[in-house]
Amino acid sequence: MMRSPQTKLSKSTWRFGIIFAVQLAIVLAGPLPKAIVRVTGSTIALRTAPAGPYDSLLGRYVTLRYAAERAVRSGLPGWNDIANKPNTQSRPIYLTLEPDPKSPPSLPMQTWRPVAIALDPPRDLVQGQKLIKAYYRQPGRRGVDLGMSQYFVPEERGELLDKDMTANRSAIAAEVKVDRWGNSVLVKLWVEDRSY
Amino acid sequence: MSGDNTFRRQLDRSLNDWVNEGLIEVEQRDRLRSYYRLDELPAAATSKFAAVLLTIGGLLIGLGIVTFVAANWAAIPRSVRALGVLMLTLGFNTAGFFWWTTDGEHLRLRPRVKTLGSAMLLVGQLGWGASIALMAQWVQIDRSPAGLFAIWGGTVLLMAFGLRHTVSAALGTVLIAIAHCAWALDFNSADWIELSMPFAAFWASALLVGLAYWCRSRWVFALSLIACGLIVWLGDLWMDWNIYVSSYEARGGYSSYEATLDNAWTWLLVSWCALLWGGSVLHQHYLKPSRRTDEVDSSRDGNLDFAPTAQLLGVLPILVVLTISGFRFVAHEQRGWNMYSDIGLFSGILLSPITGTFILMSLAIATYGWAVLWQRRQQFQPSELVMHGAVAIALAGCLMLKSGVLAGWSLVVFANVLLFVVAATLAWQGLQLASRWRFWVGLLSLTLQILIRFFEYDTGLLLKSLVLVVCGIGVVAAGLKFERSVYARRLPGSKS
Repeated sequence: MMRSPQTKLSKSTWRFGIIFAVQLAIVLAGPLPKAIVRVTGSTIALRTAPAGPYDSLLGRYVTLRYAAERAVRSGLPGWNDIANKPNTQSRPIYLTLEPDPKSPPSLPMQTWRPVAIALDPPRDLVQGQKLIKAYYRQPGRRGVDLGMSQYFVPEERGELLDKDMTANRSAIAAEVKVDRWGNSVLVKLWVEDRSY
Repeated sequence: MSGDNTFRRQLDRSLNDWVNEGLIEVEQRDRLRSYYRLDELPAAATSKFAAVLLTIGGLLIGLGIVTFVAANWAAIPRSVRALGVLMLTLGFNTAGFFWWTTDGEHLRLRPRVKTLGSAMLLVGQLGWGASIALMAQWVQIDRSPAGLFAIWGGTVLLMAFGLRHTVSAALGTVLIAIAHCAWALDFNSADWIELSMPFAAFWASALLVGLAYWCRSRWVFALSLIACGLIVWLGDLWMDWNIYVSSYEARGGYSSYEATLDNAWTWLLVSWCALLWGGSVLHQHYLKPSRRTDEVDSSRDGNLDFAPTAQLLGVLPILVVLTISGFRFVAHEQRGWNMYSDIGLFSGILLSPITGTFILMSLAIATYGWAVLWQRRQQFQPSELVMHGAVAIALAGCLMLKSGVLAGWSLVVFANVLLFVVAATLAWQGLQLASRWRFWVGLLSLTLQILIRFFEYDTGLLLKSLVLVVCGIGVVAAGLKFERSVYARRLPGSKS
């Protein structure tokens, strides 16, 4: 007689435990892979420019447009294959990156630029080249998207960052980590030698 | 439910007096007490009030957590903030669950602990949203509002389904609706959202209405119907409008495309309302066979009577559309009414495959519901049959409004006649069934119709004042009469 409520309780506890674990898994499914890239990836820098600050209920962020996103559309090797293949959904594309010889000297780190683009991950990467995955959407949507267009900043530093970025538009870079498969994560923002 | 409780509370007060005056014996009193379960009465009343208070409290705490996130407090590192809120979420969920499922021995204390647990579970569900947002900030994930709300809503619905937690069900329903609106207003969403959201009218109505049945909650049912209505309307008509507006910025006059969209909108409205009314018949027929029996134990399945909720939400859009179509400016509007006869009555269904399929499916279910109603007409009261007939006529009439057959003044008169028929039938049915919402919705929309019509046209001030007074007296008199008849029906011993 004493056992029956006990087992009943533990049964529902199990159910709650499973539900909670699945909830946790769903919630972690987004950030966890990013965190792994952040730990295991190698660091590069990409030139970028602000497209506008936003303040939403859930925090302040800066919208970024990357130089690499624009460069792709002005005719890199492999671009025609992608642009001529119509599709409505976004699809992953792969950018091969090399250190940019015209990297702004005021930045503390070397920036990288895209040299080739492909629908499938290229296998013939030369020593010193890196791979980054982007998404391509039909014109009218976003075009090429590196998936790192929002940089969240704390409220107070956001003001400083905005001023600094408008004053030094030509020397802004995003510090990014990339892994072997081209997965990327945005780590911090550099304006000249100041990091945010 | 509430009327039933009022009676039980009166009984609770009277029983001891009856014993003292020698009307009944002590054993009879005790038998009555146990039959009407009067011992559970005070606890239930307290728990209802406590439930409201604790839910409000839970919402406030949850909003506090979200605002804490919004403050984006720089003093704490992002990682600590994200993990801290995650831990808080874990704590609130676990504590809430154990209190909610507590087996407290003391009968009077248990409901309160349960309600407190339920409120904490709600805070836990709100905490998931804060966790998702904070972790996205921590590892710098691009987030679209639609994605945030969809993931959040999904996790909350999981808890609602898994534990049959009504409050979570309500929250999850609202979140899914917000996710859909965010998607419709902002195109830049992740792939899985772009793939799933166009079909939201189908999966959301199955998921959310199923959830309401699972939780046996009329509130969740009403919320899910409102959410689904919003989703159906935004579905892809909103998308079509956007595409249309952006591609034909410099258009003049009323084009056939615009008329087709308008036609599709009308079809959606008609099929949606028909679905709710036809579905309510199916619900009464298949899911609630004991609807006519007078059971004391109505508290268990009383919440499952979803038909009135569906009918209320199915008749309100009709009343609103007819009221708007009855304004005199509709007659003067220089819109291309001939467009409607050019494009044909069914062009809206053919506009897009998803909308068209939804319209046809809804109409099929509605037709089935009305067929069942006709077959089983002996089981329904005459007033119900008349109301269903009036709704069917009104829905057909709404389609006629956009058919191009009627234009100008004939259209305005037609809309007004239809509105009068629906509102008057509703009020009459309310009187017959002693159903409060039917009576008042019908009476108020009738009054509103009369007032609007008199103020819209250039009638003299004296006439206006006369109409106001007559309307006021009419509403008061009819309302008093109705409330008296309801009271008479609810007296113990009479059938409700």
